[in-house]
Amino acid sequence: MDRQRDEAEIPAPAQDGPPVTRSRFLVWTAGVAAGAVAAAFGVVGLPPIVAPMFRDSDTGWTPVGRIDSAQPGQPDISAAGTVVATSFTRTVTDAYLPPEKQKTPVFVVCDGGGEYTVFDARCTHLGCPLAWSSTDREFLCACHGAVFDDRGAVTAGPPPRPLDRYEAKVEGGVLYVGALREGGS
Amino acid sequence: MSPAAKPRSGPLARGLDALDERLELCGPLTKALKKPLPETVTWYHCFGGMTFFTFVVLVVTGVVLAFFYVPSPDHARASVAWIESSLPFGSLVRNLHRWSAYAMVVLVCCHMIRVFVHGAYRKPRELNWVVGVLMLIAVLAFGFTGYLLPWDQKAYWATNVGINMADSVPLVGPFVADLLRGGPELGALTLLRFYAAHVFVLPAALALGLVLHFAMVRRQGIATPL
Repeated sequence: MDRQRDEAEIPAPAQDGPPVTRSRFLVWTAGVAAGAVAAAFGVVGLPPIVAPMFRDSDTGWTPVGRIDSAQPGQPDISAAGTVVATSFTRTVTDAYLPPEKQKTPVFVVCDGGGEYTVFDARCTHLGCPLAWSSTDREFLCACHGAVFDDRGAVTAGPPPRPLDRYEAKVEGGVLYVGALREGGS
Repeated sequence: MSPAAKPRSGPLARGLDALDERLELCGPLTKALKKPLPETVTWYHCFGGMTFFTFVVLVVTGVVLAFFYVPSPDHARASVAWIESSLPFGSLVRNLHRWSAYAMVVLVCCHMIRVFVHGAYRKPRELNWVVGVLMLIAVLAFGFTGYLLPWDQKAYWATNVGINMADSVPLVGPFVADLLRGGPELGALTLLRFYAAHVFVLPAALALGLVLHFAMVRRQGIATPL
């Protein structure tokens, strides 16, 4: 191989900047190759780590119970205005851990016309469990004296927002709950 | 990269110039990058660099896996299965790690054969051969410890066989076997110490070996083949 000729500068095409020598060409080639490898590492390595930040929790719809099966002596869930303390059981999956059943207490209120409101049974102040007072038609919190009315609005005490609600729908006579929505939103 | 102090424009170039003015990195870097290779260099000389590249791939993918793997008998198998099935790109990352590990063993053997055939281990490079052989042992130890981590039947029994082989060595065998197992039975402590060796001890040892290996290559130059 004629190294003298190889080392010679190849005249640059009509443009500004220093002429493209072999070593300059190799530096750029190595730089681009290294950049491509680094980019490939990023493309492969970052998604597993950052994906959870972009993933919405899709809880789906969970049945709470039938609305047409009122038992004698029990409150009728389908009677408008009746607040019923009940719960639903959802299977929660935490990564590789075995799925666990989790029971969540809720208050269900029929608004009439087949529409239901499902309140989260925790105070929006610090998460204490709420009690329903049917005589005063109020939700009471024992921790700091918070009071919510039967629409979930704060009437007394420290809570920063109305009661949280679950998305609700009725299908085939069964009440389902979906995602939890923050109160007042 | 020009060593001459030419005035350059643009914020990036100015920033690099300011850095170089204080740390004087450009000179040594240029010297290192522009070091001429001997005429006798062939493509076979690439095996060592390729082995190093697999090491880089293994470090990157290993760090990603460390975000999700749990070295506990309760969760090891489940966490690996979850990486394979549910983690975005998880299967790709894990298989890159696995195949790079295989490739590393193959390439390091090719590298060793190349050095042997070229006689590049001879004086004055005997020490670098010794460092290389120690690193070969580290690479095989990586493979042995990594094989147990998925904690499936194959991993468990392969490690059992490996430890029994160590056990059969005269005099020191039983001691070495207990040391590897962390006790009389292969169990939770074995998994944990294989994990610790795989992600803390061996990478540090191999990185140190690589620094010495490369420094000696730079110091002594590339050997002329026989």
